[in-house]
Amino acid sequence: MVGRCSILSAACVLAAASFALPGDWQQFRGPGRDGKSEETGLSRMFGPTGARELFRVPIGAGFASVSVVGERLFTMDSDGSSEYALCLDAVTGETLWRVAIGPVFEEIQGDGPRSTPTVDGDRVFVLGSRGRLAALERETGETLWELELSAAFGSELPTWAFSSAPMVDGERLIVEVGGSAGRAVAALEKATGEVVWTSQSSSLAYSSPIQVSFAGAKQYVFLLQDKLTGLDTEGRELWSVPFEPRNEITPASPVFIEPDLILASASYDIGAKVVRLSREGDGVTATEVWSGRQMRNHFNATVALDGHVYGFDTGTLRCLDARTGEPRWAKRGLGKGSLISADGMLVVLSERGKLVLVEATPDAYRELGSLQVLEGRSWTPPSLANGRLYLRNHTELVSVELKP
Amino acid sequence: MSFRFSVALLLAALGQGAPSEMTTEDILDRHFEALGGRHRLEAIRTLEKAGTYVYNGQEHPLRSFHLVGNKYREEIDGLVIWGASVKEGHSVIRGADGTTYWVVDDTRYGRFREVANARASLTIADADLQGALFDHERKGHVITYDGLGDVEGASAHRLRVTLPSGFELVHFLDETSFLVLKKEVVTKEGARDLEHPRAWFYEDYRAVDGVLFPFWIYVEEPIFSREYVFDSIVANPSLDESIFEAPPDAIKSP
Repeated sequence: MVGRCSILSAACVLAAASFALPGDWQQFRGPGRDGKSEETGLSRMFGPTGARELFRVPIGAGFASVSVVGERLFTMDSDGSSEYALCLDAVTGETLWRVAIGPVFEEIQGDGPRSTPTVDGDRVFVLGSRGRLAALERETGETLWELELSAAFGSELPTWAFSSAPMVDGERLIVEVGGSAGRAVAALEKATGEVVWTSQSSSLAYSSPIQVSFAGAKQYVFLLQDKLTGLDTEGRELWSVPFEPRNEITPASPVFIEPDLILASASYDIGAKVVRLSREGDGVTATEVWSGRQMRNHFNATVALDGHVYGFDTGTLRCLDARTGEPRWAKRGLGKGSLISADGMLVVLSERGKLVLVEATPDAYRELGSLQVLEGRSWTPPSLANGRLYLRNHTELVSVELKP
Repeated sequence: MSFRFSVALLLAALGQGAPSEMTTEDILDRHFEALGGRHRLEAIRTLEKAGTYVYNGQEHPLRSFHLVGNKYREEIDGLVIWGASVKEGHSVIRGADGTTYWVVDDTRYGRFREVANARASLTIADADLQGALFDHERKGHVITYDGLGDVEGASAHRLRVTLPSGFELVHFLDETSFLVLKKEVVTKEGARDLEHPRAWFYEDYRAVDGVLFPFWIYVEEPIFSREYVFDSIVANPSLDESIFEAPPDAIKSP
């Protein structure tokens, strides 16, 4: 039985990976949902012989980042009445399809969808900010199934709207659904949308879950409104630690720091908490390693590299020792920006739309080059696929070719 | 002990002195010397600044006017407090007349219009053109030396300034340059009396009439931080004092 399961699991992984190739960025924060790209040979400068703009197209309001598989990119936007899932040509920016996902969510900090599409095989999973979850056919945008979180789980529209990015694991879709009474998170059959299990009673907290492999077992880590928790693949809680943000807002994803640390962070003067996972008998425990105000992610999460974390402590880009929380360097003037890492660099988008390449080292902040790419407020993190960077705000989507 | 290490110790001893041996007055003397001298700072009675105010990812043209006696006025174009947009043709105007903080702003969607007394009191204190360290005894400020601290890796003297209001503003003065790198305070605000830390960071000091002023100020708050990026600071312009008085439609605090 064990052997059969293993063979089936391997087959599932292979099947799921059949459309996503190395270099793709098929979901929020990239292949590992950790903000890290494996691409190499990227330019470290801008200009005719370095990184240059590939295309620039108008886009409607929204915070969804860009997912890319092959020559197609997927994101979401809105107009004055509806929200949409979009598929664009990843090289030219030409719109290939645009499908309405539900009525627009309007709010003074910015209208439109918050969640990023997840691409898996021939499907695209999207979550509208008012709680419509849908599986779309990748080629056409045709709706394969959909459900309203309010009807399925008793979810109420959160103050800042549904924001979590769906996560695929094998045949299942793992989603923070914000339901009541043991239905805060759910696993669905990705083929049909049928509910497999629900778990947790905490209120929705706007962040996106990650998958972690620890001590030979997979677990899903969620940052909910009052705790950081790890669930096994059947939704059973393995461990949890309290994490109670002010104003009950924790949009930044938890971050796995291999081999055994998890970081959670929130703004509003809360800060970060790092826990160490330990195997205890058949279970897993989490013990606090450090906590403090030195990393207060408002919405964009940190990136962990070589024992250090890099991220936006509100309006200050910081590097900390991941194991101790000790500060290594700080850089102000980039606002509440976002970042990913690739090829030994931090690819940073400032809150005011400046793209900055920074050497990924704990030694010092060393800027390699910068380019003003977007105008106005830019809260959506960059995506990097096949040598091309994708950046957006509420009015424009821009691609920058990073391969020389 | 190596020769090189011995020389280093000797030079350190002959130089600025061990931090633990410095008194508050020593540090203040070095600070005002670094700024350009107490007499030059005292000679500056008004300031006019122009530049950019950065808030919530948006840049806004900024003009501000300052007069000794904790009087100031700033005009920020297009600013929408709590908002994500720029409102063309509109300016938020706010200031202090020395005892009252006031705001004229019709863009708050009917929300967040009240100004907490703690915020108002701090803003008035921060409107001190010459700074809380200058002439501190006359102002009723009590300053104590808290030893060395750290500002993003820079060693700094910590001077704790207790204002008559009871607020404690900790100033971090760079150990080498004696310029203020950072100032921080914690207040209690809101219905739940939550702790509200604030910090001001100062960079890009430039001389104006022989006195160094920071041309870049970053104010860190739990929710919305802001930056002041100045293009120009003019000393002793002629200002009409009535501009510091609250307009009839202003919200005032306390």
